[in-house]
Amino acid sequence: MLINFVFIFFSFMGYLAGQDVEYLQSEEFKQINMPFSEAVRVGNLLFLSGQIGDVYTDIPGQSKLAEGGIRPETRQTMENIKSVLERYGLSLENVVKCTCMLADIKEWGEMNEEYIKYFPINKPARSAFAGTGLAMGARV
Amino acid sequence: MSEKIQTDKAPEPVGMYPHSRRVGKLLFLSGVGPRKPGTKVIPGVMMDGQGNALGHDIETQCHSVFENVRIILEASGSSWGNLVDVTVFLTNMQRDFDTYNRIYAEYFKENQPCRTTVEIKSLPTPIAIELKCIATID
Repeated sequence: MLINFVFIFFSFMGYLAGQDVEYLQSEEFKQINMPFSEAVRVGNLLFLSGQIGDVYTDIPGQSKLAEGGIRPETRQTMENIKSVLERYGLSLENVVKCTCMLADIKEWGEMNEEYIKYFPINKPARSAFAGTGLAMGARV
Repeated sequence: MSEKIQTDKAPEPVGMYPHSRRVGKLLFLSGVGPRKPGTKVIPGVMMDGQGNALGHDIETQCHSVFENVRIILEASGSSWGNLVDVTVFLTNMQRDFDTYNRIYAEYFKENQPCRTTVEIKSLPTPIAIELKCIATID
């Protein structure tokens, strides 16, 4: 009875302390030494950090952009998002909201054509806009 | 279904929006900059007499904006350690990214929320950094 009570008490404290939050980093991600997580799980929701169309190189902790501009970069960005989702037990079908940040709004159309291939069934809610600069000079 | 939160301890919003809104155990913060609460003073922004920015001390602005985020989180029943997603808007990525990234790391030694950083052309006041955050409420 006491053990049961103690267990319930600690479960309750865990609930109060928000222990249903997990900060997620893969080994590869840790090597790039950025001050954020690649994803954070809160209950049934998974938040992803911004992704660009980069690929890891042979040098540990270094990556480079996919070559060829907006289309290859969009595809690589989607592949990177897919990898993070799959690492944590989800897939692109579970995506409910995307924010697309572009280097140039004129590339919106080309980005869209690649983007849509990854969401053949359920289309997540989305906003897209162009800023004036992204990390590593990325297009998206 | 959701509750809006406003506090005198954080800088006054520049439009018709609350500092934050609570939905269940999640807290959504409006965008916030480094302006000093209760004043029009922006630490780290050197101004001329006409309200134009002459220069930016990004280090000071970072400390100030992080402090404003903390104030809003605490006024909303959350805390710094409860942040899960941070979107950072910079007006000059090339000049400010390294400094901002270094100071950011000092504030997030314990928990590391998801983060996205983007450079935009301008913000509604003459500031160089703005944050948009999502946190949990225990």
